[in-house]
Amino acid sequence: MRKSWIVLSLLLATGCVSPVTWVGVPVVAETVLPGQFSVKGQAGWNRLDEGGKVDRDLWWTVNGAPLDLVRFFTGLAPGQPMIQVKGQAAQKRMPTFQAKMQPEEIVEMYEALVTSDGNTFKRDKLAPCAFAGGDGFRFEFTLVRKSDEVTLKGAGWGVVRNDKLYLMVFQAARIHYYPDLLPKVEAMAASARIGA
Amino acid sequence: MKRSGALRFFAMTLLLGAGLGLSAQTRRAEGVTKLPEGATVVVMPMDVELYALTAGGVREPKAEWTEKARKNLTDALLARTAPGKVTFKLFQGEQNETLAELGHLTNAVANTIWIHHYGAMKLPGKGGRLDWTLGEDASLIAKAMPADYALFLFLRDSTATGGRVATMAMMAVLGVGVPGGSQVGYASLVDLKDGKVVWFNRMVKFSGDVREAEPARQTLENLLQEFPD
Amino acid sequence: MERRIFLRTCASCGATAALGRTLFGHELPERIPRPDVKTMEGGLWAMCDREEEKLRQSPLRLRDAILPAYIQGIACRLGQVHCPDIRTYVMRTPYFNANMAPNGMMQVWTGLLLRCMNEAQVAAILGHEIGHYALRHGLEQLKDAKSRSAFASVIMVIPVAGPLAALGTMAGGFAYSRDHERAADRIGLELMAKAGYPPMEASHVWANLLDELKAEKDWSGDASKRSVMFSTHPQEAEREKTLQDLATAMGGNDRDPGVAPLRRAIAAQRMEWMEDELKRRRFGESFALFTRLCKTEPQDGMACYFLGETYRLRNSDGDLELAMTTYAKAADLPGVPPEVHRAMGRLHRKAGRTEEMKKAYFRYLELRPEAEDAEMIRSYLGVSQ
Repeated sequence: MRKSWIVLSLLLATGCVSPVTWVGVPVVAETVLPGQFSVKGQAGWNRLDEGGKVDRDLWWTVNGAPLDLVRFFTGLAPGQPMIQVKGQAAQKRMPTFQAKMQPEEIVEMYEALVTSDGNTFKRDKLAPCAFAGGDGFRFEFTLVRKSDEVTLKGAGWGVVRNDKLYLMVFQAARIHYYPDLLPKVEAMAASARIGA
Repeated sequence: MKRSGALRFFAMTLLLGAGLGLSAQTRRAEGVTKLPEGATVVVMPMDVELYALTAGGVREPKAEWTEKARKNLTDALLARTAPGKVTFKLFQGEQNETLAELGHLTNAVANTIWIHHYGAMKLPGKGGRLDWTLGEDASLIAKAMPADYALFLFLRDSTATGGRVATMAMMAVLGVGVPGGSQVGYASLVDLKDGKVVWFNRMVKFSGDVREAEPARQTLENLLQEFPD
Repeated sequence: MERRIFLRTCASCGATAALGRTLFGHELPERIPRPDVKTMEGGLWAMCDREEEKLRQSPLRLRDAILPAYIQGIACRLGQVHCPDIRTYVMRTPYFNANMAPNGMMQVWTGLLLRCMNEAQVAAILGHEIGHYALRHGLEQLKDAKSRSAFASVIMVIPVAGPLAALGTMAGGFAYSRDHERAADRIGLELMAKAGYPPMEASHVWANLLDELKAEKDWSGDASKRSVMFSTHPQEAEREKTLQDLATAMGGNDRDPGVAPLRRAIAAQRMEWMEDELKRRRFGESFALFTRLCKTEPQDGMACYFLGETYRLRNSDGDLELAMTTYAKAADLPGVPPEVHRAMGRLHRKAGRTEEMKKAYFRYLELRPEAEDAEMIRSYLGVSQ
């Protein structure tokens, strides 16, 4: 949501046509970052295209990012933060991925990402779970977004392979959007693959 | 409900001036042409606020104007009730936490429709359809106050006062545009059976006055463009 | 977003300059009647009323049976005749702030309550805010803002946000007169004293906050991000000194500051707030806070555990060793949460100390068999489901 707002504001403020757009997700066996990390595409999803730039944090949505959002972190290397933020102090506060991190620390890293602006986050569940052909983990959480006080529920899947982190996190409004889309996202997670 | 909606819409107008893409987007969900005869629409508490815009650019909240505007808009809305067609009535049910959460969601949905349906960030997956919902929990509104549909209405109106008008004129001479008054608002009609947003409209105007009955009626007409009644 | 200007105006921090005298030795002004809607004050009230409705519906508002009533009680004792007009709301947000709107709505944030060492410190802040309210500073400020065109540019640049976020953002863009804050401080002291609290505690609030900010600056090297309240309040050191001098002159500093009543009132939520505190990732501030809590009450196992957590998350050179030592110490103290064993288990596991890891994790599972991460922990232990 933040991303889309920043993008939107820039677009509006400059009056320029932004290279950032939402584009339809193809319904094919391998999408996201083919050859590196992929899931099976489903109809109705849109992905954020930042002018062809390959980001490590990819966004998908059905109804719009404030309502439902899937984020893919596709191969975070040790020492990398989940996102780059402006300002040295702010970046210093952002945790970076370490190869030896345990699942709870990875969840904590995601939590830091989404609570840096005062949202409240509660982890509801953490358990081992196969993901992308490896021994990964699955977690669930509740998030109250401070900016509009919408309560969101979330589920995430992650695995560390060859010292790189692959993480997929779904979050959506607790009312309607989360229960409505969860089965689809579960299917998506089940189809996740690393490499070609 | 919907405070951040308010802020965002204002932010947009300030950032944008009139630059919002006013492309012709459908205001109705697929298959919606008219509400069934005899339908009742419950009007949720309106989120309306009026400000005076002073020479210095400060927006001063005007309680008296806001009260008048609310009354004018309510009167104009209730007067739309047509015998045998659609009946409008005011929400008088009790607030509770679930309704508050629905209110927050309504706000988020309205923001999303604004950005992704009317705005530049289209979602190809939506194929241009007005296709959003509050989900089945919307039926809880009908439980609190029996009705077939709920209408949510949001309006922020700022009116330039004397000093501001003078500043605008002076700056215009120097070639600098200073925003004058503005009206920013949206209205959203929700089917209480399934929560579907059946009709939605948004409005950005730089003229208009809701403090008097007739102009308020016109503003409402603007806001309710293509309303399916 | 202009709403936020007024929200901030509502918020606190106005002027007594108009009164031209301090309240020392005077009674608080009479109750404030609801203003006419046609007036500027009426506009401000109506807006604050709508804010209040939103606050009431906020998912961040604490709704338990104990704490909100406790805070309302303190505000009432301080507010004297104004008691019936004051409505307090405790909001779950980990920052240090409280504010009171012209219509009598008062917000107290949990980050503030976590930081107060006793009830008298809470009273010092509430008293200060009540002072602003009783003297109608919000209105003064709105009048002042109207005359200043520079204000307009502030309005334009503020990013949009929600009701709680609004306050913090605005504070940075708008500085309040020191005279106004000084006056509110004095009234606050007077109200505290009248309600039977030791006035000296007011200066301790600021001294403690100052320590935290310094610690953060040392840690992050970034002094620009300051506390919401500090950016609008007079020079902290000067303020602390003034409050100290006044409190000394007033006497009554040997009264009970009320450590136990505050601890009882916040007991159920304290752990949650400490978690919230760490999520801010201001490890300098958190470090100063938890160190202070541990030093003041060496038997406070919970604060000690969170000091360990601060080390672990800060993760500078040697921090993990310090975290381990701190956890180990906390584990033997009363009030420590079972999570301390999980925390030790994790460090042992990473260091390859299998036996110690097992012992710690089993202890955690024994104390929290229904933990939401129990399955994960069992997998670390190689125990089948």
